[in-house]
Amino acid sequence: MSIYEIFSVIFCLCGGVFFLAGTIGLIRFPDTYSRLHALTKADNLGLGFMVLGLVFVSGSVPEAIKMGLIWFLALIGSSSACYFIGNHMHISSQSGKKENGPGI
Amino acid sequence: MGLVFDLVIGLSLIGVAWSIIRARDHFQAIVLFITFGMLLSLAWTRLKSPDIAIAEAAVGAGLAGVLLMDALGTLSSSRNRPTHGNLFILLIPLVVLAGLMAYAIMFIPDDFQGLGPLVRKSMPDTHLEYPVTAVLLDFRGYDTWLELGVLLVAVLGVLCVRRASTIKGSILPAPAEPVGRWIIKLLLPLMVLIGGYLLWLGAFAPGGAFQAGVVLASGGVMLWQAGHPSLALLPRLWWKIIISSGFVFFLILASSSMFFNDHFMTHPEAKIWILGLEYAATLSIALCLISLVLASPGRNQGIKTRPPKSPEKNSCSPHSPE
Repeated sequence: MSIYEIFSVIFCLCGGVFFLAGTIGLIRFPDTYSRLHALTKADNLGLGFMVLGLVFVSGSVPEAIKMGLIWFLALIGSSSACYFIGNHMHISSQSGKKENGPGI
Repeated sequence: MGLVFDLVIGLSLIGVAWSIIRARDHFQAIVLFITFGMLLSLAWTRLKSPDIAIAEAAVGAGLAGVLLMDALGTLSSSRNRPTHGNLFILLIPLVVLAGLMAYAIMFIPDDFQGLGPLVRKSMPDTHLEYPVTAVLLDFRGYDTWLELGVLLVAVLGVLCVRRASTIKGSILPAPAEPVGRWIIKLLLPLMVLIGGYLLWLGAFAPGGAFQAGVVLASGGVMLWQAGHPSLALLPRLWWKIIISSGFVFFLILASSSMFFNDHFMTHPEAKIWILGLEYAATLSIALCLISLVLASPGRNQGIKTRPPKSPEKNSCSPHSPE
């Protein structure tokens, strides 16, 4: 087992821990705002660690760049989705409507 | 290890499918359906079919989810739980289907290798390097042609329901939204780039017209969601031309080959024609899917009063009465 593979396993495990934490937070947190917190922060960090771990064992530089791009796009996607959901919640709570978050 | 992973995917597919049936309300069912699509695309990846996996993730989980959310926004009164009284009637087709599938699987001959060897043997007859694209555009061109037709008919059907002759009336841009505009500026060039990349990749690797079209279509839907008016500026004639271009170009190519060699649905010898066909198909798939999303009922009323939102959040907004 080469040093790269060991690094890869360590980083991927780190990513898995963050994903697990994010998922537990998503299930256990009481309202939508804190769920967003769990979903967008922990999962993005987890994905980042996974990508970092996989970069160590990727065969070529273009492959590594593509994986980095995937992480970058996921960051943009999840942070903006977080903004939209939070904004929607904010607006609908201001206009006096009670909305529950998706109960999943 | 692979077997464990496959088992987890297979069992979660069945579990998610069961929860879709038992879902509390339609919103939960749609979210679970999107989950089902993502899991299914993982399963296709495990079956070494990246083409289907991309298409499933983009269409089955992405755009179909948006369309279903739209439909839910229209059927706003459907808060009540779906009835479960007649679930047992479903058991009959279920058992028949399961029996047929088991029968089909049990009687696969041991030395059966699928159609792979046949396709590989016929590859010199076509001018494409990638077998899947060769099957889609050359060997089974009929299927692809009819699929483009199905998309076209679907758009026409939506327009009939809307009693509109074009989607133009329904493109009322959502309110201008700073974050949305910023994302558009960042993502849209990347989406066009990735769409073009997938299209070009189709000649020799997983990718192709459908995947590229879906990526472009999601870019268009995002453009609309961010309140950008550029889609509304598309002239009606161009909209008609592009939306039917894939189907029509395929038909023209297929019938023109009758003049050169006496078979319907055979391509001329040059690769340039297939490339042109791919481009036309991509554009028309993209515009068809955009039109399906934008022209779906429920878009035409109350749009200006709705708060800005991302595609995933459509159903959560209270639907204004029409």
